[in-house]
Amino acid sequence: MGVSDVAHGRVTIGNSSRDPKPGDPGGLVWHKIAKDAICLITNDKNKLSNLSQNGVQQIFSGGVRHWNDVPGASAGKDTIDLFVRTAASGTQDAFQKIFMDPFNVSSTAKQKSSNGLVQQSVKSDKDGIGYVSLYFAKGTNAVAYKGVACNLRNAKSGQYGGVRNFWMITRGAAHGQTKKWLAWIKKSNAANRIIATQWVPLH
Amino acid sequence: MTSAATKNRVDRRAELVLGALASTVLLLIAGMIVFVMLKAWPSFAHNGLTWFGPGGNVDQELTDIFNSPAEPSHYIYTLHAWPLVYATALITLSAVAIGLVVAVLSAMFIVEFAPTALRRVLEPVVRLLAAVPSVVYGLIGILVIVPFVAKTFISESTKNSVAYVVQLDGTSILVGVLILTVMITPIMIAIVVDALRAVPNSWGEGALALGINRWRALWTIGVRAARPAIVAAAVLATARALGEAIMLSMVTGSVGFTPNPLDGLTFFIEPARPLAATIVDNSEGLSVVPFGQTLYAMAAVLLVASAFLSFSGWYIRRLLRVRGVTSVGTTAPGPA
Repeated sequence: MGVSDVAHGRVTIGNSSRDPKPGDPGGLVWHKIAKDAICLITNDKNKLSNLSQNGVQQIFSGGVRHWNDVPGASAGKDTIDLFVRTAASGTQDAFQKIFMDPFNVSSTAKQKSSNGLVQQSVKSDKDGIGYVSLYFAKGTNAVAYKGVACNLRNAKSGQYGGVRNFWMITRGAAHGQTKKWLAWIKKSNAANRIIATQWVPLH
Repeated sequence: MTSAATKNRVDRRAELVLGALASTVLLLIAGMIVFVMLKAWPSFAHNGLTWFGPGGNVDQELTDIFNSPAEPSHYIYTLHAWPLVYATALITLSAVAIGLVVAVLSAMFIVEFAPTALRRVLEPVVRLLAAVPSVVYGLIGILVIVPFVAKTFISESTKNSVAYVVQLDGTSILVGVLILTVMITPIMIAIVVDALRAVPNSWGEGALALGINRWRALWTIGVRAARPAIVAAAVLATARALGEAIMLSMVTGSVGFTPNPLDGLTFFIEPARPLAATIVDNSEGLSVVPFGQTLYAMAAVLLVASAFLSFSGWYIRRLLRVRGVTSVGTTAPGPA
């Protein structure tokens, strides 16, 4: 809702976890403030250790439907349960662009309205696989992507490929206190340290 | 000491203030309908009646609308919302049908057959249940009932047989209808209980004096006389069910799938997503103009449906009122 609030002038700064869309209202200025790693997660019982981009695309587009067709998975011959985010969410948008393009996510996948619900679904379903913001990977088995583990260190160093942007949005160029605040977030060491607790600072 | 003139003035003032309040509510409702319709219009204008029809994959269509190009003339609006409309009707009607039977029978028990001690506990509990927020039911649904359904009713072979068509993982219309029924039944019980109590004692006593038993007396006199209130209860419950979004988005699987009754028992464990759940699930995308308009179109359908519901409820109650008890004839509010 952050984007639509700032577009209507209800708030000064809106937060968004998705990149700008062509259909967004004009006149918005998007300030990149941080990055975030998107982890592929499976149930703790399924010790799948690594997925290639092709592997992710095969699984999430519905081409591969059984765990015995996925090298490294330990869920027997069970059918794969896909958990994704709803169409309009930032995580879904980023996943589609970074991991899936040019494939589409399978229409059989269950859509969840928050990262927490994806995490919960994967935790309680031994055949489940989903993707969440790094912070929500707790209690699940985070799968390495292209041989790089999904953690803060690898995301910061730039080795981990599944990284998306976090934005703050203003209507028109920021000025006055808003400008100062955005500058503080982007440049100060204190803000950097706060971001670095769970997300990836820009520098 | 107040003179008659002052008294009159006070009355007159109260009348004006209350009148103004009542008209403000009407104006607000009218304004809301106009606003939603204006916002929704492009989606309906582009699709016409095919908006309500089947075709394509509704989730892919929503994604395409969300990714529309920037020029207004190239906005994408194509949507065939049948799976969502169907899911709304299916889940709402099933829950109300089951709930109504349970509600009438429970109300009869509470009014006529329950021992006083039990009745004293039962009635407050029923009223309390009617007030539990839906997200609480949703949580119980995903943490307890969904995993239970997945373990108990879904075998690996069933799952495997439909793996390329639909994903069976416990989130399903079965769980949705079950929890929705639990959510809407208490309010129906409360209304029917009040109505049965409002039936004059002498009517039932007259029947008993003719020698029929308590069950027949209550069924043929009490329930018959309370029919307008039963309709009112059903209308109120349907309105609540139509507007239920959070709980259903959590437990029905949230996929634009059309469960097919011909699938036999699998039908019950198939997922779906009603209109209201689609709106909350996708509200993050409101800022993308054509996507927002599409969501407003769904809201308009719900609004018209609940208005239609209120009117038909009012009409049926008017038909039944001739020989009925009307003390509890309330009109339904819009979707919560």
